[in-house]
Amino acid sequence: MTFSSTTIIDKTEVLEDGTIQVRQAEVITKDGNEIARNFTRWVRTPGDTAAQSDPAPVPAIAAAVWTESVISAYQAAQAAQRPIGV
Amino acid sequence: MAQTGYTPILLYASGTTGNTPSASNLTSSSSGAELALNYYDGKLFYKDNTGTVQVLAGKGGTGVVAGSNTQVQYNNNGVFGASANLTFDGTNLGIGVTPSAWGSTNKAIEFSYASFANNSGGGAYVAANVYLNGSSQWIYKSTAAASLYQQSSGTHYFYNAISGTSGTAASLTQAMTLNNSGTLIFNQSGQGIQFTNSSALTNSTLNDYETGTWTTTFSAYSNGSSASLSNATYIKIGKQVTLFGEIAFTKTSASGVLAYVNFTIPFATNSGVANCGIVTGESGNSVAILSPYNNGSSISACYFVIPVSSLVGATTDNYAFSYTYQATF
Repeated sequence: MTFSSTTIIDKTEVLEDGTIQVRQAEVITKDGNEIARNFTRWVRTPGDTAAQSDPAPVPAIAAAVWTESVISAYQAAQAAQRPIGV
Repeated sequence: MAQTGYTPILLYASGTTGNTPSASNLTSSSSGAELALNYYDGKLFYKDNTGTVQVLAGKGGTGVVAGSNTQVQYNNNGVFGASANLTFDGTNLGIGVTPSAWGSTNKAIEFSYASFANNSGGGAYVAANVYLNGSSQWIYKSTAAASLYQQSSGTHYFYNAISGTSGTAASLTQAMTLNNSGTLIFNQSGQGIQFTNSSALTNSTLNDYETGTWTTTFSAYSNGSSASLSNATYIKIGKQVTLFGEIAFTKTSASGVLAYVNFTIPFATNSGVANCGIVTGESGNSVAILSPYNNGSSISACYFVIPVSSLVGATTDNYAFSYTYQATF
């Protein structure tokens, strides 16, 4: 009986404003058959340099989606935001 | 040469394949009847009472076969019978239909629309309106929709295809899987278990369930200098997301009305929905709220908002929270 664990990025979603939602899965197998999948999620917003250190394909998606105009638009939108009621 | 002491019986004979005697070659009457043998084809002929030459027997003792080539022989009231409704092409059996051109390893039992076939990988196919050809393409049998159920290595696969033209390749979509561990998987986004308690089918479909951990990025501090997240988990059921975690917030001022910081959340909020959460400080005497953006836009971020007056720690306060909101999906 052999157990193994592999970590992959199994889902990404790009929002309209360029935000990338990332799901990482730890896939656990027994004798080659998957028996469990544990998820961890995070988000990269346009211009976030941390995306370059994420596992593939996040850096490539960021490079393709985050044009200068997308980053500028996102930052401008953020600057205008406040919590509700503030 | 005849065996000594025996008198051979000689028949009319031919050694040319396909040769059959004509009616005038043979006699049949109450006083005697003649036989003819084609020793190349292995067929014995006689002339019946209507004057028609018939095959009396074939080589191997098979007798007189019925029907046309590839038709299966069956006992039809004591004689061989055959029908176009039961056809065997040497590999595949057609019931009510001539077998399609299956791949050589499949060996199918085929009906007009349905088929049961072998999967060369050790499994089985039950197909409706498609067959698998020698190029591993599923081909429409008629111009209509198609579906396929496959078993392979303990896993059950369910496929379907929209209507296509007879004789063309079908593009089968994997709709559902029951894997060899017993987990049922809905392979297509947005599909799930439908509760038919409403005419609004989309709103009565349970299409997602997921649990996991999450990390965040803090930004845009007001009256704060840093924050961190720990013990962060989530549960997502359909569109409802509940985040759990603990935020440690470091203040920079003991004055002012509010302190807040922006942080990313793992699923985008549904635009226009008033999501809000109450956060309880670990000391039990301070509270904060989790608030969406003030324009109600759909975004993967949220605000952690604290009344400055409730910041009781010397520098950093810890806040445990659960935050339930409606996601876009």
